[in-house]
Amino acid sequence: MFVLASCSNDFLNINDTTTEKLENISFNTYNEHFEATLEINSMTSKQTLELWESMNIGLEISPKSSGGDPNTYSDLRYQIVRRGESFTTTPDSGPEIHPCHNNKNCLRKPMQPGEWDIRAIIVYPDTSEFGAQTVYSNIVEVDVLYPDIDNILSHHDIKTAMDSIWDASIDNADSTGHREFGFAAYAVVDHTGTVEYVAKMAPPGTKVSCPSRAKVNVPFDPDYPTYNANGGWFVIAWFHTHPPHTWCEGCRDTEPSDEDEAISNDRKMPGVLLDFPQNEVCTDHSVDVGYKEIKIGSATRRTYTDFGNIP
Amino acid sequence: MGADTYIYNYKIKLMKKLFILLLISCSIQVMAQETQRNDKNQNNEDHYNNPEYAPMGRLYAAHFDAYLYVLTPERRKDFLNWYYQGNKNLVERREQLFEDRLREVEAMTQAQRDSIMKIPPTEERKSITNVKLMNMEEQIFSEHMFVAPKEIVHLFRGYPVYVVSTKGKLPNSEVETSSIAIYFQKTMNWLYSSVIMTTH
Repeated sequence: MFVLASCSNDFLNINDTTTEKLENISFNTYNEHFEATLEINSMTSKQTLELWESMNIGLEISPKSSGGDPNTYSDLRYQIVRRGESFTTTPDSGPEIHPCHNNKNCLRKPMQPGEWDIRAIIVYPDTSEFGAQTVYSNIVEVDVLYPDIDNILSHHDIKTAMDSIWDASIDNADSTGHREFGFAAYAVVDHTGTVEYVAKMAPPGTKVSCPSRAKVNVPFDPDYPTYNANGGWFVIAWFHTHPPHTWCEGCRDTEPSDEDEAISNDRKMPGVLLDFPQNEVCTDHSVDVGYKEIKIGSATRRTYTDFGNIP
Repeated sequence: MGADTYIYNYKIKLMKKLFILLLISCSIQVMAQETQRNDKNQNNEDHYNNPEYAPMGRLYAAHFDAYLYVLTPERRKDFLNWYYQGNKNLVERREQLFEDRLREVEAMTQAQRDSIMKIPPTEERKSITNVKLMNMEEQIFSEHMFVAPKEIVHLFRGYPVYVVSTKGKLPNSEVETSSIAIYFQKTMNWLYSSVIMTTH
């Protein structure tokens, strides 16, 4: 009886990735002796994560033929770029997941929403057994989602901010005029990956009287153009009020304006309008009836767009 | 029981014991590997969560060479030494790349700079676009009705920056928009941008 046994912990990886590994060889066009397979959450295929989910990075380096210690590298990095952008060929320039530097197994949070391509770049010095070489792993696509609008609306601080702009909208309306109020909601990710929602208030809109339409300027600070492994502020939704119609003539519908819809659809970001609960409000209507939340735009989550310069 | 049967049973028992010993040995090794891996992961986490350097790491990841530029040479080396975990070769190479970038930017044409700042050629612009070379200060933002980002102003105060401002309307709508984007003139790195949407 022969018993073949190995003390490798590979048996813990129960998924058969042989086929995927063979397919990934074609990505490694620059290496010579070693090849590297990058897995995220034990997968080499594209995956979608919530901002607060874990991203377990695992790298396997092995000789292409036989012999050689793959652990003799002098530098190991994980490069990360927005989908469709090019990686830098210099290992230590450009965005990377720097807390995973020189670490083949690294548990992280995604830190920044967006559609990302990740690869490992491994450098062997000229003093190593097989001479200088740079090994590039396969690319793993990771889509990190912006939070869902229902999740945002259920957050206590966002609810408080909504109450605050609604109260301001009511308090600032009288027979002399009215204003709109608004804020942008941000997901704030700290360096540990903890996610909080924060409301950044817009300056109050200019006071106008009927029949002029009230308006409000809502500022959005765009995301970092490149990946930031230390987190940051990421705008996720925008909110604004429609003012009382009590001191105006006739009636108005309690629904988003064409401009509101245009903003959400063009910016690919959900919006929320706070307006009176009834379908329309008319002269002398009561203001003490609370508000309803009306979602604006077709998206339930933001999709990354470059807010940079609007041509 | 014959001698052959006895020997056979003995061999089976011995193999069972050996197999169990092998399993125990493997388990211990796997546990040791996992512990070592977790320790390394934790050490890396601790290193990069260092409260003195982690905020610098965030600014570096956001502004790259622009951030290195505003650090004194000693502070820059100290920061890079932390970032590259004491790897002298990498620190020196990064410093060299930084110097190379300064020379590269100095030699850039305005068209190359415009391309980095995503400024379309005049005939393709759909909004009023202005580019100004100014020194960083709060007034840059207030002039365009934006709230100054304190951290960025504090960090880059007095350094020359390109201020790209736009004013226009969203396509197919009456929504007014304005934007501001700031780039560091010496390295052409992005520093900050903001967009205002005006709604009814």
